[in-house]
Amino acid sequence: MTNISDLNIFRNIRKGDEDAFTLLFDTYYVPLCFFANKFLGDMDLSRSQVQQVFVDLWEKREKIDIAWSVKSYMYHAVRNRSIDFIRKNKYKVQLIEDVQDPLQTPFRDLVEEAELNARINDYINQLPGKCREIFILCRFEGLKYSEIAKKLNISVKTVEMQMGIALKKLRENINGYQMINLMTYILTKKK
Amino acid sequence: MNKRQVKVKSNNLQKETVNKNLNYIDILIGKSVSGNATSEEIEKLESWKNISENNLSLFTRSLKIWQGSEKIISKNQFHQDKIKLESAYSRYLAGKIRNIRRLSFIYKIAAILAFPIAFAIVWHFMGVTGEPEMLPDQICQITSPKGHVSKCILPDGTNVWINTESTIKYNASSFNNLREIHLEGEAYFEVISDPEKPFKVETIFAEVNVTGTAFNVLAYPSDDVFETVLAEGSVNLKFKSGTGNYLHMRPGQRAILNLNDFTIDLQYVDAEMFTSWRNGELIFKDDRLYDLLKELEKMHNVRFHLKDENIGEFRFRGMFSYNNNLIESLEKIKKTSGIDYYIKNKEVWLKKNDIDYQVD
Repeated sequence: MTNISDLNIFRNIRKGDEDAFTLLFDTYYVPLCFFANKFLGDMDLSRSQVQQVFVDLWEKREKIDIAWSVKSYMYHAVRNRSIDFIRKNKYKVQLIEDVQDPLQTPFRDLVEEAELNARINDYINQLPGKCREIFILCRFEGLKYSEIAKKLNISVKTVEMQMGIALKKLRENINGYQMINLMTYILTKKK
Repeated sequence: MNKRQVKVKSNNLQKETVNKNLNYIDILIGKSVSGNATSEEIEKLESWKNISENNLSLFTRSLKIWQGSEKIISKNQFHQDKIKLESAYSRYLAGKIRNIRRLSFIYKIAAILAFPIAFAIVWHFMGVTGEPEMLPDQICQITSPKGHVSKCILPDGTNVWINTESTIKYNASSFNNLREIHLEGEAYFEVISDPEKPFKVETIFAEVNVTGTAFNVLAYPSDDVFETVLAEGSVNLKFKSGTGNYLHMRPGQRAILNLNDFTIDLQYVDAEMFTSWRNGELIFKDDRLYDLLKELEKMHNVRFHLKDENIGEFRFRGMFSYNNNLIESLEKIKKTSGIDYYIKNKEVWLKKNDIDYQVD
């Protein structure tokens, strides 16, 4: 399996290697979206902004300065774009209310959080079918157990069990080291 | 009940027991972090937490995971976004870019056409249509008739060679601001560099955008092919059908758009081979007689036929000049390959020379 060795990736992309570009996308797209979301507070918006960063990168690929690390380049590009967007769209109001001010938090911490978000996201997507569906309805749509049971035409007991399984599986996947980061992240959140 | 069945059964039992134990606490934890627990259940959980460090840690980790997942990007969304991106950066243009092949010209020298130097470089303007016609709105139109190549210089100094049966059109009054040429047929451009004024060649199939460079565009409306060969600099091709995405070309590349199945072939070529016509030369390096005859047909405005099918595969290397007349070209072919000719009803027939039949 190809490794995403920094300089090689950029070198190849510069030459127009589409496989290299795809690998870059596969590796960084999701964490970058979570990263952008810390500034923009809207995942749909974050996704489209990150996509634009990739498009821009491809279009001016021959002019890439390959002195930087790929990761650093991508995260900075997304950060700059997000800040630009905020400035142009006076997005500040939502920002202050919902999340910690990303402009105050050290860049590296934000990156690590984003990577962790992406990893959790990955494990959620790997949950078995019904289990994932229930977890998503609960965590992301904010439905109560009884509402979920009604919606999916199952018993509340089933919902309870599946939620238990979901958390257990997620817990097992996220190892101790990552957990430390997670704790730091949670502690600094305002909410 | 045989042994095997028993084993299976006991495994299930084991699983159930273990699951039962874990699941009860897990269920409580689930209810608690998601805000679905009753006050009773919360109390139960508190006492369980207090039993050991492990328990407390288990709970805390669950809580942190819950809080750390405030958004989701599903697999579907990921794939949708990826496809959106791919169409945005023109990975799948009007059709698909098949491959970038390196055309290696193996010089199997079957016949070398000896070429008198006098014919090689001499370049004539073939008379008639050097003069631009002025149409209303200051539109200039320059046409090369059959069998002729014309050359002209545009107001900005750009050199254009116009091949047989081709026409270029441009608006002379606005050319200073917008360097836009409309082309039907084939032309070779040496564009004066001016980054402030992009140069655009428009054909029925596609647009070629440049700032300063040398390239060839082949777009006869009656053929089903559009080709561009880039000699120097860089151009952007924008296709008029499909998603209207663009292809960025580099020197030495030849892009062929096939309008029948909407595929694109991108090749590395010796650009000189595709653009030598502008110097009044047709250069062949290891080309089949078939291909050679196609060009000669255009050049001499006459139809060729092959008496013996297989001679079409014969390979040639050499140069024909637009200054050759038909007989001179046919003599050249005969001298080097032994392929004979005769003319019937103003059309040319080629056949194998009898001399060749001595092989046993």
